[in-house]
Amino acid sequence: MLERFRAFWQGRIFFMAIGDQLASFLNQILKDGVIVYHTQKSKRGMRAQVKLADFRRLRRAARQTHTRVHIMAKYGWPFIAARWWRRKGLLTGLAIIALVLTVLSQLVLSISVTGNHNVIAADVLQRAEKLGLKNWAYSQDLNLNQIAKALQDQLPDAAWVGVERNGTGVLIKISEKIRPTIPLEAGNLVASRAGIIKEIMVIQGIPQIHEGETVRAGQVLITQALNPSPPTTTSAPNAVPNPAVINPKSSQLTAPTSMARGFVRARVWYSAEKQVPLVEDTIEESGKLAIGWGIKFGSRVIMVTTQDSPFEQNNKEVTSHSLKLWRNWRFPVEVIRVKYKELHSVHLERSIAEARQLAEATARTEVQQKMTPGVLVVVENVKTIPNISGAERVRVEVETFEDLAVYANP
Amino acid sequence: MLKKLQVSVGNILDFPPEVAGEGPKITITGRRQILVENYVSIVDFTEEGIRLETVEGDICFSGKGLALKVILSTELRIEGELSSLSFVRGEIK
Repeated sequence: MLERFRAFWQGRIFFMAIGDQLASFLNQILKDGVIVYHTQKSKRGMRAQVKLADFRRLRRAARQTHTRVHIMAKYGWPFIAARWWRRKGLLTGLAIIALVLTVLSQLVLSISVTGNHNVIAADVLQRAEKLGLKNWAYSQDLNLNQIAKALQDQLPDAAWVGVERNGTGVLIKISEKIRPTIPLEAGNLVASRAGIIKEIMVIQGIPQIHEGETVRAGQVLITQALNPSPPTTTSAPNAVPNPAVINPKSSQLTAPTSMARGFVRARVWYSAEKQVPLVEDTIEESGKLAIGWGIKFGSRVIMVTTQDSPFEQNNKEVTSHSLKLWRNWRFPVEVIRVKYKELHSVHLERSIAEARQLAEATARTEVQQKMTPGVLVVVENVKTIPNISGAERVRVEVETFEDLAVYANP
Repeated sequence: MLKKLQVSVGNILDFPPEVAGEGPKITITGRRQILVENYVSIVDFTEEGIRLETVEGDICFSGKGLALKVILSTELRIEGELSSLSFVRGEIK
């Protein structure tokens, strides 16, 4: 490789020597200190290579031995350089192109804005231009972090502004602020669940429902008064205190005087259905454990103890312990702990009573999760749904009496 | 006289023969590469045979496709398929 590079750098001349005294010619040029490469005789004469610098020294030997030397080819950098030197226009053109490309690559040629919905891109570009970020600006002079900070300060709707340079393009990334939306029902009392209204007591505002009416979740129950009036002090003697309304200091919901206030008590139903099969095959953990230790290097794992799981069916938990050397540099070899938990198939056969009991318990738990905590349960019905072969299906229905009125989600 | 003295000193000091004497040193690697050092001149060369003059007579290499890869004034490298090597004329000095 080095030899080829040296030949290319020095330049080689491939020549053909024709004459009767080729051996003498060769000896003569060797005496003159010329190094000859790849010498081979052919029918016409002798083919050989010499360095470009040695070629002139062949002349004397050729004259003395009556040998004619013909150049067959030229190889190497000196010939390429000479050829290029003759094409000065081309060289100048290449140099100009390189110069223009170098200069242009240092300029900002395009600016784009992404991530904006409410912020107008033209406005962002105009503000950026005032800060110096414009087309044909010298990019090295731009302090992009400073521009991003200034843009963020100038745009109230932008939560974050980032300016990124990719070659000649500059990308202004905007993350807009998500403003909280003010609901239409702000200040109104709405239904937290669906139910049938039994009692309404309006302290302030205009009722939108009447007793006996069925309401949907989210339906407006009492709207805020258009002309705020001082709250009335009357209240139902058997009313359950509503902390959000009566004692506003104890809650985050501080009710201004114009907000609707009152109670709306209703019958509310909750239900859940569960089905439990009489015969069931499941896979459960048996409780048996096996622990193995190993070494992990990159993606390769070598288990030192308990190479394979001793159980037929198992759950595998792998915990990796790596040595932290400094900051986020970690030792590449990690110690891993593999916990094999045995799984076994369980065949369950339940009696009808057992299945029914389990379905009822599960359904009741689900209903209780849906219910508002601490409400009064009026009626609870447990219904077994018939005509299901191989399974027991139970429906639990609970009726409660509770206050539905809540302020709309701010 | 001087030659004999040079050889004797070389023998006593355990010099390699190519250092003590003036004879050629021929290194053949396999059948394809031959390095000849301390030759005097090239007498004749073709693709079938190369004849070199040395102080201990002429050396003839014969074979197929022989070519002188690099020729310097004191050493040369031959490449090709070598079939025989022989000394012609001259005497051991």
